[in-house]
Amino acid sequence: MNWRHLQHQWQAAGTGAGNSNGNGNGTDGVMAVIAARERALTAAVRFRDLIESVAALTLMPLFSWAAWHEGRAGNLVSALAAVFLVLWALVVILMLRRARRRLPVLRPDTDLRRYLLAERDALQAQYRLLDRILGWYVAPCALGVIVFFVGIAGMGPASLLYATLVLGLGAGIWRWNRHVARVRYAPRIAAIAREIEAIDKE
Amino acid sequence: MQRESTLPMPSTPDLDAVAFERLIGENRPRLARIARSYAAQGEAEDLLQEILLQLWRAREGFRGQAQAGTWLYRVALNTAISHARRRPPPMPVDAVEERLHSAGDPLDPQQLLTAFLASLDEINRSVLLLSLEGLDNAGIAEVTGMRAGAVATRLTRLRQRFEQDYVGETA
Repeated sequence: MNWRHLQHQWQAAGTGAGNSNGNGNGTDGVMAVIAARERALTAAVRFRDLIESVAALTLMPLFSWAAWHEGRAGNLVSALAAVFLVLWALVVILMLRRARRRLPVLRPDTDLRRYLLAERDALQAQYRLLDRILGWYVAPCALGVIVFFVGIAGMGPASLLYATLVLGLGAGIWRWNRHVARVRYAPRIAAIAREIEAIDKE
Repeated sequence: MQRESTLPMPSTPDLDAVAFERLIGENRPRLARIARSYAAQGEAEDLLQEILLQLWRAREGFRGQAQAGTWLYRVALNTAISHARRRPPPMPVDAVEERLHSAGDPLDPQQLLTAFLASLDEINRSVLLLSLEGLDNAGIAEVTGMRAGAVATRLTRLRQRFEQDYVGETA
């Protein structure tokens, strides 16, 4: 087997993908293809940011109003819980934005080993965020809304039922996010670790 | 058919849209081969488009003709390997051979080579692929971040394995 001959054959071989100019993706359409993918990517990022903003814009005015209303009514427990929820919503938004800014920048024009290290670090950061969601998202939110409700309804069967429902929902969110972290992120982190090990092996 | 032993590159280091399009036009076959080597069946065009997008986004890192090959291969491989991680692991060598034999396909070296590449893990596949594309050990080391000595050792083993496991049976 002549390796050089194989190289010649390989480099001369037709490839299927990307060799046709007839489907609009030929050389002339390169910038159009890139522009279309950029648009799709930008739209996805905007949609994510919009969801975050909508959640904040709904929660923050709602609980700001509730804090003012309960404060005026002399219900300090609910008023403080509402203030806590407004602050929590603000902290969550700022935290998510900061976490995104601090993610390692993936530069695809670095060498493969460095790229894999950066990719692993980025995935680990996302994994940690999901894995620790109980502390920064579920527990403060559940605590805030339960105290707010108890402040209004008082201690009794209704509050107990409400607290049970909120805690159940919180537990569900917590478990789902940890599941996503373990199923979606952990295998990819492990795969990258194997790839880095394969590079470093010799 | 023309052999692409050296990378055709635009003479200017500035990659505006026109120069970029020319660069891609001239290197599209090799980018397509990389896409096909890492994408599942039917996904090669999608991966190729993703590679093009990443090349465009990374154009600020383009340092002109001297570094163009390294730049192009780095972006293409990094993108392709990330993409491949989201699909099932490579097929074991035995399974690939069995499938080739049972399908009654003619066992020409190119098909065997493609099957062999598909059976390798992402790192070994990238090393062999870059060698097939005509890069020397130093070039492969620059793209992958390995030492040149390690590239040489790995390539020797991979070629031996290919010749023993695939070519040996058909010779």
